[in-house]
Amino acid sequence: MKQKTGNKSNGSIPPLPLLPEEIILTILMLLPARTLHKKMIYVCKQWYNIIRDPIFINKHLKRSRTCLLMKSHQLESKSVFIMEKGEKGFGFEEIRFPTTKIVHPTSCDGLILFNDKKRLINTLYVLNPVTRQHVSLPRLDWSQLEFGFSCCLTKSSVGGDYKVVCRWHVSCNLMIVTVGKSNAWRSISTKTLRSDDQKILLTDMIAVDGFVHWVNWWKPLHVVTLEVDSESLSRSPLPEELKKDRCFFKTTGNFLSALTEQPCNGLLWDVWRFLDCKKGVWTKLYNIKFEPQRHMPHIVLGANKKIRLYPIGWVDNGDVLILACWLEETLKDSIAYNVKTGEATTIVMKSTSYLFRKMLSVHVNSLVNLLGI
Amino acid sequence: MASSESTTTSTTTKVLRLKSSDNEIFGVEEKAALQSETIKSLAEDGYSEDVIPLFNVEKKTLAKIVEWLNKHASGSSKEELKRWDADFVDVDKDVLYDLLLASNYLNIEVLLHQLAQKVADMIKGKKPEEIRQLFGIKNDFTPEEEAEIRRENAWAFE
Repeated sequence: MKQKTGNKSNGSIPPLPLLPEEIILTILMLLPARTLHKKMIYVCKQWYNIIRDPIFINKHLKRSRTCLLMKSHQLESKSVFIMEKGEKGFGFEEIRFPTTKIVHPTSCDGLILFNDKKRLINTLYVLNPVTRQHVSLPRLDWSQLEFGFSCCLTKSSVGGDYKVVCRWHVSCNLMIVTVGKSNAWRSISTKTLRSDDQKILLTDMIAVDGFVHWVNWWKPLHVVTLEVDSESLSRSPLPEELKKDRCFFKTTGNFLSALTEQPCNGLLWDVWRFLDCKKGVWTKLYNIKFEPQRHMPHIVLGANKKIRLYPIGWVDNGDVLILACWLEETLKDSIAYNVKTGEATTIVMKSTSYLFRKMLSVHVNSLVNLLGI
Repeated sequence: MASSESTTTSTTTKVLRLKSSDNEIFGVEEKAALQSETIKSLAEDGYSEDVIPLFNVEKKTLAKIVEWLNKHASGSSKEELKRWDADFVDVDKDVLYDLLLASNYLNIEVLLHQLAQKVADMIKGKKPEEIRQLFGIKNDFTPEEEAEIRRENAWAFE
């Protein structure tokens, strides 16, 4: 580092004495990850060092609010969209990947796992779209690849390591790798599961902190859970109230939730939380009563027309639920319903409405340093 | 000299006397004053019967702080407080700076957070050079170092 030559007066009004570092830290903590990374790190070395400090990064991550990661239906798309609440309501930010084609991205702590398909060769990457750091993961056994696979990014709740879980579509085999730490994939034994339950592994993976869940949503009876730390699988039955057709399983990022519609009434919903994965304990968190005039003023109800709601996902750390609204056969603008206040806002969809069918993951913009793990 | 604010109350509301660095004394009801962790610990240390000296806060800043402490102990509604706070932090840079230092020294977390939020909103849309000017910060990066950071932040897929 070069020594400053100092004492160069620029002739302007004498500046204020510098603020103590703890106050600067308090101010920077309140800024979004993107602003910190694109602008604030260039201010001076002190600010740069604060923003790159792992303790600051971790604190900043913990106080950030979650948003949703989405992808368009176009297969060749190289973009994902982050749907985030700003000052003027919900908006979309597009992240264009400099890759050939991306397949099923998922997110954890602001890191996005995605599969770059280049001339039939798949490479799995983990990327922080804010800092643009990325690492590639060890090669999988590509001979099985033509049958397809799914993967998700998750976090160990003890050590804080990031792990990727991968499942082959045909064999239901599970593989796991620790990001930045292991050079090869390890196999996870599924022998502890009955063969019926092994089939549940073919459903979508739902990642929460420390766990990955699978539920056969078309006929929900059990949850199969992978504990990320011990890499062990278990199964637990669902409560009777959740063994229904219209039951949706969504992650808040922190935990698995189940949303059930009361029979014959599309506007009364219950929200449940999977409280204890080991003991299979569920608890009911909220009863929601949607009022069309108050919560969905954009929908003009005709005679005998029925509203159908479909939960899309949670934002704002599990405080706000995004729901798609259908009036008979027509898709209307979605709503964001705050379960704490009972208030709802309409999300203006415009041309991006097609995105909503493909919600991918709960996301958060973070400064998590991929090269430091 | 400091008890004028408590004359209307006939109950035994305790008033703490706070002294600024330039020797002005402010009487503040205990309930309001104890929102400051620093005053709280000084009061617990036995200063409560006398004057509590606040060596790092000038009278013009302490007057503003006392105003804030009183308002936030007055039982105003949430909405009213929100409006009042927005006005309170709407001050020029120098006052904001003094208030930040004082609320940090007095350890009033809620106020510190409000002031920090005000600064964060001020700098959010600004360029690094504008922020340096605002805070009187020197750019201590060499052009090479700055270019290096920019390189780190570029996409680098093979």
